Amino acid sequence: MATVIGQDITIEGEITADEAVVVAGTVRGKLSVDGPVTIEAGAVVEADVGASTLSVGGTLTGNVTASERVDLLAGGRLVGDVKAARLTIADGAVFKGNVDMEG
Amino acid sequence: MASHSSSSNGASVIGRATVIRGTIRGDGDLQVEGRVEGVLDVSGELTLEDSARVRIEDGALSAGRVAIRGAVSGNVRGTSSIVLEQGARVVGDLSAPTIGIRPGGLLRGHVATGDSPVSQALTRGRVERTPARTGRTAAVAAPAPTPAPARGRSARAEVPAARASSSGSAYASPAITQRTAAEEPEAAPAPAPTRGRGSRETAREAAPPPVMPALRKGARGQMKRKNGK
Repeated sequence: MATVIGQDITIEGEITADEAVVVAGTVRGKLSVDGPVTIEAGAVVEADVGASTLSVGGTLTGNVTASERVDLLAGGRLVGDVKAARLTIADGAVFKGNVDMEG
Repeated sequence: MASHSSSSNGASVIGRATVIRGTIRGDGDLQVEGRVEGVLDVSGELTLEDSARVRIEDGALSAGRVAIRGAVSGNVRGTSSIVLEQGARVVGDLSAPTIGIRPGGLLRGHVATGDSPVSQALTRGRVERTPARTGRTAAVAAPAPTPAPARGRSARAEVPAARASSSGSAYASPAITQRTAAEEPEAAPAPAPTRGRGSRETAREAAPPPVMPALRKGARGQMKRKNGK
């Protein structure tokens, strides 16, 4: 079972998880996940994110460290630095920040 | 990618391998299987599963309907109801219009049913006792024109009673929960505020629940000493 933060939920603080996390609502603070993180369209995340894989369809403001990969989907918006072995940016995504793929 | 677009329709879950320190607010339902430390305030239905560990640091856990099967440290307020299911372990005060405690649910704290000022005050802090005290002083002050010694006497007389009842109850929490569960259906229409007007016996009967959480470290010894002289 994964953690799902629904559209109408707001979390301010620190989230630590060893399982998949799906964000459809709002998260401010820090998100440390040993597993995949999905930021859905409409979600707002203002946090530094650590994950195995990260998929961004919503708005993410903060630095990202992913042990495997980061996918920035069409309609997604990412402002912050990305450190990941693999990064894809879909056509129509917004991205501002530095990329480090040497990890 | 697989989970993308699968679950954005409002059902929120804090999984069992997840820890959240901070504030969780929202309008929807929330199911907690993991750990939450901080503030938890949702307007929908809140379900704390048996693996849930919740520590409320400020004020009260608040939700529309609350169903508890896990562990909670802190006050719990339900704007519509609270149910302690089997396996629930709650240290804190409960307040809601209707409260249910099923066999196997453990509670250490105040219970206030009904939408009374008492139950509202409970969630804000340690108010309590005001209705009981006014009831007692009114009963004593009417025949005796010297209220100061009378109040002192009544306060002292209450200590052994409180001690007897609380020492019995503090170590037999299943008995309490069962009794509350048995009383719960009739108790639904807010007994708390009416107690103040009742006789001294009802005030004394009402004593155990408010007194119980006051039994902090060293309180028993203090009462024993007071009782001894």
